[in-house]
Amino acid sequence: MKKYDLICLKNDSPYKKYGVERNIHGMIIDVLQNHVQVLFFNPRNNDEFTLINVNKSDIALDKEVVSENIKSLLGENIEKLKSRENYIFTSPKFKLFDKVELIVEKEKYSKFGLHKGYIGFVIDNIVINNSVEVDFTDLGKNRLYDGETFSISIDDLKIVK
Amino acid sequence: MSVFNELIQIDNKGDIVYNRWIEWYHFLIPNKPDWFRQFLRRFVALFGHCKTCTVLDGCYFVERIMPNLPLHINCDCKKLDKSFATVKSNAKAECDIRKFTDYVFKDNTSGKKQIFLNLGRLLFATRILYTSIKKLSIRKLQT
Repeated sequence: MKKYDLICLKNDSPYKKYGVERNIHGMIIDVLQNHVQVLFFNPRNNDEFTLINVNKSDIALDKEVVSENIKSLLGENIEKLKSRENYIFTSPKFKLFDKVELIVEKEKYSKFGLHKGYIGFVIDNIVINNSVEVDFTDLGKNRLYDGETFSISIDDLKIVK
Repeated sequence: MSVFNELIQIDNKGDIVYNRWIEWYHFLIPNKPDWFRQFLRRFVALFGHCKTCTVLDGCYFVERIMPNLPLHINCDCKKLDKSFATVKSNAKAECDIRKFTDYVFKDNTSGKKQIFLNLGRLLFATRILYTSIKKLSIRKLQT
């Protein structure tokens, strides 16, 4: 195994504390004696990544190969990634199809007709820019299909039973 | 119906329009496998590459209604000419079937189940509906 190799995590037991799971893919960015340092992205949160030291016996090489352009991009900027060594992925606040309520009144929502107290369902719980997609469509008063899906900040929502 | 019906159309104003297809291209991003595509999208985003451009990479558009190119200052994306035959054989649209099985056809989801029942759709037809929606979304690309 060498730097820039793409790998798949086969044994996740020692690394679950970081929030990574079996079969997640990563890239080797440093090679140590019995370990490699691997870059993983959080599959549930687009804003998060981590660097973890992984035992070589816990991973398998993937057949995909990164281009020389990607290697040079990493090589020039590797120190930027070091701040995330051993970063622990945050647990998702919402599950798919959770019923949620908008708990704030903000202009960025109200200009589209969304107001505090509106009820919707999480239709995509992957966090992007600290937001998830919520379906506020409903059968309106006239029994006509109405509403829209919106990207809402996870801090502006609460789960409704 | 001839092949020209999909390449040449009459628009709302009654003018003849030509559906020239292109593929959006951002370098460094493969089209498949999906995990590799998503990994490299997120990787290059760490170093300043536009996430909107990388998600558009590999997508097919009718040129007259495609997103603006360049999309932003310093945008290096390109458009690659593609034949309609290529688009028709390669284009894919995906929809998580759980949106039907675990959401639309569940009770207490604000009337969505009733909408589909009123249309005559039942759960066992979910897969047929799922396939139809995927096909329709590809056809909608042309309009």
